[in-house]
Amino acid sequence: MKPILAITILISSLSTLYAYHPEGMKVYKKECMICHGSPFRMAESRKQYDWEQMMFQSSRPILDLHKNEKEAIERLGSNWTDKKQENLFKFLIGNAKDSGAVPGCDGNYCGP
Amino acid sequence: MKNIFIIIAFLVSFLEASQIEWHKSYEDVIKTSTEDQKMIMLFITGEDCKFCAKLKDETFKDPDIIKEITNKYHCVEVTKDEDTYPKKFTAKGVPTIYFLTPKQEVIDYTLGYYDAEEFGYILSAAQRRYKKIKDTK
Repeated sequence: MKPILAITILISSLSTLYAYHPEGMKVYKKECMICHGSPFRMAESRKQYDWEQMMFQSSRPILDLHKNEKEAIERLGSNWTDKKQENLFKFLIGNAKDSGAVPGCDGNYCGP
Repeated sequence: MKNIFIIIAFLVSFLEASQIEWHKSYEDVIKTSTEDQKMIMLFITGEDCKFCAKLKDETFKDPDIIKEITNKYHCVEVTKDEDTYPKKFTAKGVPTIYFLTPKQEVIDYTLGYYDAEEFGYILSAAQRRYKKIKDTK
């Protein structure tokens, strides 16, 4: 029980650091935006817990979730990596509905 | 004489499609959108916002983006904390763009700069969502 609790606390604390995650944002823009649209709206469509559940449901959850969608698999299949997946989830968790994060203005693409 | 009219008509149509037509006010855009049921693009800018300028100078000048926006959206540009528009449309940063139904329901929103290809994806996704909403009503 303790390890699970520790992992949950670790993920929760890390997720606050994820808020604007440029690498994750890049992955989203390149691989996901064509179907799912605006990145911040997508991230806000679920709570942190939901994204975390999704992240741990298998070793390659994104590919599994899209396995019946030919267009998505063609797009993702050959160049989808664990690193991309990790970055994408950092972005999604960091900007989830209950993250409390201010959608990322880092000065590189928007301002206050 | 006939040829001159044709040339003028051609030039007018070319000019119309060469830039995004912005409505004067939020009120104005709601009125027009209610009449023809096109979506609304609410573009929230700020003073000295370099990425707002970049969006306008680059993305909004792309012919495909102009065509898509002209055909499917009514647009209005407002300045954060200055112009009159509903407070529920917050902007945590600028540029922020809301895509709204004629009844002012939020279909999608974006924050920051996107190039023409990325912005095209956002427009398409917003249209798909709007269509889905219309079909279920």
